[in-house]
Amino acid sequence: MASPNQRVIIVGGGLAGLGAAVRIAEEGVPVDLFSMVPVKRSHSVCAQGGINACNDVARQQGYSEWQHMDETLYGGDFLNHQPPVYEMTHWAPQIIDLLDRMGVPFNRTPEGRRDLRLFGGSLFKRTHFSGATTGQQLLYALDEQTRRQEAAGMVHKYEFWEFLWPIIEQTDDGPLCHGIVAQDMRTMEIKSFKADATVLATGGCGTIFGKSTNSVICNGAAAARAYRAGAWMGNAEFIQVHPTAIPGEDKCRLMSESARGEGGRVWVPRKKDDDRAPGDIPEDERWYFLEEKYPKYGNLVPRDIATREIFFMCQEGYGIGGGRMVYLDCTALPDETKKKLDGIFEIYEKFTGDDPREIAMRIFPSVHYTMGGLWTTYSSEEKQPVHGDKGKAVGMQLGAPDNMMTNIPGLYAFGEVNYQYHGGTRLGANALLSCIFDGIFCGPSVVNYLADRREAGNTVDKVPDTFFAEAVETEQKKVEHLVAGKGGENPYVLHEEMGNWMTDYCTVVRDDAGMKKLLEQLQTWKSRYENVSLSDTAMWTNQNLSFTRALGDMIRYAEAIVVGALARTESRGSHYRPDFPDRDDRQFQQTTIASYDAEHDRPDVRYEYIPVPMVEPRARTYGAVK
Amino acid sequence: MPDRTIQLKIKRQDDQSASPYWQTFSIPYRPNMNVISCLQYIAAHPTTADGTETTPVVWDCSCLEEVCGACTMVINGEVRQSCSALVDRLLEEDDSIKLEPMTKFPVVRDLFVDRSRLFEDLKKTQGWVPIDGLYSLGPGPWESPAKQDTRYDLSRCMSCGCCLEVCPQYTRNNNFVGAAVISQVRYFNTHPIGANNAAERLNAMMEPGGISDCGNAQNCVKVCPKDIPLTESIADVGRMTTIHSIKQFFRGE
Amino acid sequence: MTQSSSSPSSAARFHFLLRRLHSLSGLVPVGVFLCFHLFTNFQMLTGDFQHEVDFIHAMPALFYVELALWLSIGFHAALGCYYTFSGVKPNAAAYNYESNYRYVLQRVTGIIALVFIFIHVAHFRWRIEMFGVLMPFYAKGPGGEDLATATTAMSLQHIGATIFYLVGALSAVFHFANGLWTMAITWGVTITVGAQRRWGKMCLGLGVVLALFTIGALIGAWRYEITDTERAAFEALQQGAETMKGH
Repeated sequence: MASPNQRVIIVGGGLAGLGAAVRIAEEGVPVDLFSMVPVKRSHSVCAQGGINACNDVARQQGYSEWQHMDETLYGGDFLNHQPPVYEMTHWAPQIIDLLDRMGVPFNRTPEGRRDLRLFGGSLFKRTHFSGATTGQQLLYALDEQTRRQEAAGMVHKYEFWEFLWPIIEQTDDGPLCHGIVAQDMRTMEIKSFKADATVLATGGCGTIFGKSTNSVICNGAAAARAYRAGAWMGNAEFIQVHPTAIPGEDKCRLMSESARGEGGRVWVPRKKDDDRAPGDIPEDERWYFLEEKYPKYGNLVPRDIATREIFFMCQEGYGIGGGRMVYLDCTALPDETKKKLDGIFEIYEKFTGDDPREIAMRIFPSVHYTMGGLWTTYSSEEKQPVHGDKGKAVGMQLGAPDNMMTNIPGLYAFGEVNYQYHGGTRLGANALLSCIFDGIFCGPSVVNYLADRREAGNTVDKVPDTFFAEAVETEQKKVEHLVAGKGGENPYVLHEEMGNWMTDYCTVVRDDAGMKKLLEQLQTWKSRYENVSLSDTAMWTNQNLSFTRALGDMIRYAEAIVVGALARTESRGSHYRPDFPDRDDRQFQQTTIASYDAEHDRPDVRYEYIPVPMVEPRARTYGAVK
Repeated sequence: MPDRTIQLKIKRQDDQSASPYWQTFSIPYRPNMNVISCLQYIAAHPTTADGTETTPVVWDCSCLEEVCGACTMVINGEVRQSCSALVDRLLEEDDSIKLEPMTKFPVVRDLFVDRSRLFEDLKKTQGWVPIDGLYSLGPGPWESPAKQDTRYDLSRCMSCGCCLEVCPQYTRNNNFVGAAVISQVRYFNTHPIGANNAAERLNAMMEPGGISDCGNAQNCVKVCPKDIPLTESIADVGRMTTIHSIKQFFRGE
Repeated sequence: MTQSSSSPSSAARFHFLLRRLHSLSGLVPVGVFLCFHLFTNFQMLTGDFQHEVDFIHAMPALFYVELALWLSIGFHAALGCYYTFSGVKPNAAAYNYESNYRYVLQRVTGIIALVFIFIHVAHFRWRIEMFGVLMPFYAKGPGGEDLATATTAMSLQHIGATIFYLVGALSAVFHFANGLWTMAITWGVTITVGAQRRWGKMCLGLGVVLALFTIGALIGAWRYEITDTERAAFEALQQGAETMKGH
């Protein structure tokens, strides 16, 4: 058991962070929970669709946890590690039960059981949902359980605190994480926090691409700081782009696939720069390009294809008004179908002011999910196969201290920031599952690690206070440096420029020339970043400082993405290279590991083979669209 | 069209104890703007309408999809989320846009307020289902679709504070918990396992600042961005406490 | 508040009890008394007001009934004022919803009604001279003549008095009817929006009836023709006020 004096730090209060907090606190270990926003406002609230898990009905129809694993690996184009996916999918049913016990208002059948819906990537109904706000409901359930632990004194929340840096000591046995430096975003006080284990559960990095479907807090800066401090990145280049989002002036908002599922049609005016209202453009002057190019699947081609086609049309200048939007037209649908889509129509109407029942929606693909992230390890072990398992079963060892630990002992990565589960691209309704699974399954690993550390006699209380004071001072100096900057470079303008470039050259279509140009550009942004000036130098609730500091880290994260994407000369999952359109298992059945070379301020890339103990990789065709 | 600008009047305050002042910003109009995009523009171009350089306006936000509740402020006199406040709609009613921080919570800076009282009150009322830990112990209780529907409506509360901002009984000089917390008491007390702590929640509701401090102005339900039936929750918790207190009285505890 | 005992704390018991007694006292006895009183008044227009007055004065333990009423009104008013003036912030100007106006009116009419009741009792019961009229206690002439109706009419046949009584009594009526509506929510009788709306209509109906009683009573007072005999008896009564005060 861990000593009562040992503490755990968790950075991030989304599903993964809260799941871990509750699980660890339950083991009697006090937790310090850091979040840039009150944890109830974390990005997990945005998930709409649901959470996948095998269930009794699907099981009797021939579905199994194994099948769920197979779908996840197939969807991820076999870039995922199989034992963690085995474990996650086999834990999924009990995780749903657990959430059910916490009081999540899952939709119900007439008999009162949990209802299920069909979701992408499966032929079985295996997605549990709570209205159109499943993520919100799950997060709230965990928020409530965290509050319970908080009231019991086991969790101490540091809300509106920003993680600045991990405190890592280079010992004779290698690096060791002793806690973090964090800043109160209101008082601007910088402090060090000691812990024998630190969990980063800081989510994705969508805002590196400017506007995305992510929350504004999902800037990847925390992951980038860990990376700059020595943690490795895994498959950073894998970023999911959702084909239909509502472009906004401030962000992109998701438009559910169900709009197309129910008969919505995607088109652009045949004439470039046609400035007529969509309703005024006659049928024969509309170009239903998906239906034309893919007569069999039409508007329901798989996500990555739809995304690419829409992207190409706009690149060729066919976008609405020459811009980056196409029409998703639901105006001609029968009234009863429109009624079914009320929920998503309301979202569109709320944020655009237009009624999609009357006027065609304007949509464009948008960055949506970060499959890559911090590299982590785990202990695998052979499991007793359960009903439905088709062969040797290899899962994770429950409670092994290294589960989802980064290359730095004492530093863990849970949830979206962890690269493990989704491989090349993520299946719908698997994100919520992977986040909660990390928190709940790997919580005991963290607790066991504390015990190991105590036995080894290298707990954090043995580290001299001066070590922590130095870490704080380093961060303070960075702040002073930023505040003193007089170069005149505007960080917001720089961010917008980077977002546009990253979206143009490193999302849907990644061609060699474009990415090389982007990489050069990244170097100029680095030097321009050295010249940023703050427009606010007050030492009270200074968001300008926080944003600018994060920008420097985002540039480094972006570089890891671009370098990884350039080096991966194949197409796999969300990563599409027109010059290398096929998957190359011989060379790239491997994880891209990027480590930060501080001396040269650049990522070093190497590869790590991904073993396939259970499911042999096969071509990801989804019934061949070609 | 490119010359068209939007006038944004913002009530600013440098820190908790500073006195507030107004600044006007002139922002180039683009179609489909929301208040957030105006604030983002100001962050990148912190210059007032009369050309004075200033600091970017500080405000709280996260999801920008009206599910996190962070970006709540008073816009043209009405409390709401700034992400779903569309500029075109606002300009239909007024020729400029006026932004103020919520008045019921202490201002941290500019439009950023401290809503921790709300979360503290949730703690006091035991806003959780008392489960026996995270081990695998089978499913939760079954629930009829009708009951799920009722609970789902209540569970969408994102603690934004709109109901508290408009409540005449909720002020900075008292300790009323307000509609959001009362509604959560109902949410948990109507869950079969949550109800195991019903008595404790109702005891908390009987405290000064609890359910009986409601004045029935019913403003809360009109501004709730998630259409939560707050007044029904208040009445229901009223009934629960009535029965609870009568039972307590006759049990002689 | 975090203690997990299943009994409320003593602060909670006290606070909750006071709040609920405040709510209850508005109905019983104050509201019930208001209804009887306004019904009695209405007899000014349609019935035998004198009979009603005699009935009341013949009540046993009248002193204690009056005392109980005063205590109830005092309790209800004192708490009401305390609640109204301790840290609440009406905002009907900014959020002009109908229910919000009623929230404000409930508090304003409560205060008006309190002032009104005090003056009204001072006038009619404690015989303090108002509107040029000194009300007799028993409303009987020196010779034992029935004067209740006449004297009441005489004191109300004055535009100032009429307005005063109209505003005061209608405030009390609104306060009671609206209070009945909020009371059903407070105690958890009406939960759904539909139930609250339906009960609201019933409260409105009751309020209208009570308002009509009030207006009817005033019309009755104005329409009452004071006979010479009554006037003479009344004059005599006024002359002998000094001795009357001795009662």
